[in-house]
Amino acid sequence: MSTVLSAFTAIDVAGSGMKVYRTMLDATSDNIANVNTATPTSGPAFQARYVEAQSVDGGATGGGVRVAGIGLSDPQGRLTYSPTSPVADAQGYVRYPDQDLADQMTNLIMAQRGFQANAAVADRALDSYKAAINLGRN
Amino acid sequence: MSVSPIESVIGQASGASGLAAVLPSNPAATLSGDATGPTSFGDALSQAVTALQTSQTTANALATGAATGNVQDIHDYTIAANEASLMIQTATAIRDRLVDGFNEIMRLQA
Repeated sequence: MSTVLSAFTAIDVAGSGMKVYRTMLDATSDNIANVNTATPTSGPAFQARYVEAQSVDGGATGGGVRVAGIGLSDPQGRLTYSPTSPVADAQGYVRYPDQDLADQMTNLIMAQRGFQANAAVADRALDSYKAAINLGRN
Repeated sequence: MSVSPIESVIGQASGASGLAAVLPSNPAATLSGDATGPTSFGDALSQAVTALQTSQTTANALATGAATGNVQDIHDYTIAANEASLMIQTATAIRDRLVDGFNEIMRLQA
């Protein structure tokens, strides 16, 4: 997120982490939704998306993380014999995406826990800043 | 300490606040605008108010987006709202200290 305020760096950094893991959640949900998507052999298979994270330089303590790009799985996919499929070629083959549901579930858990961890950091930082503001009050 | 109480209060407000001093990465940037420090207390104050205004505007825009379904990241809004709230609290805390210091001086009697 754009840093309007650099006095609250920890919250912004945690926000950048949440953005990356949210993107990972989006990508993984799309991969899982398309786990059984068959495509004609004339074109590429559905390509699973993988989020590539990259650290952001900024100040002495760093500037968080951002999505550097989206990696794609093999467009060849898995050639599968499925003559009843409406997209099957003359020999009865279709392309299934080159991805594994178990891998995607693992990524899903990683994205979920990563998001929660960053949300916890934002929460703690908020508490700390509030403690600083209330110093000496009362 | 060689400075008088009111100067130290103003110094706290115009330079890095106690909150910002804890943070190592450009600590005074929000309240003072640059790394070299403000030229005067008035400049610092106007920059702080501008930053405050910006944070409120950002939070408002994101709140509208969240209400109309035009926000991609929900946490963008909650973070902006919390940061705006924190900045307001910081500003009021500084104001309270300044007023306290002023009142303290006004109570001085020979």
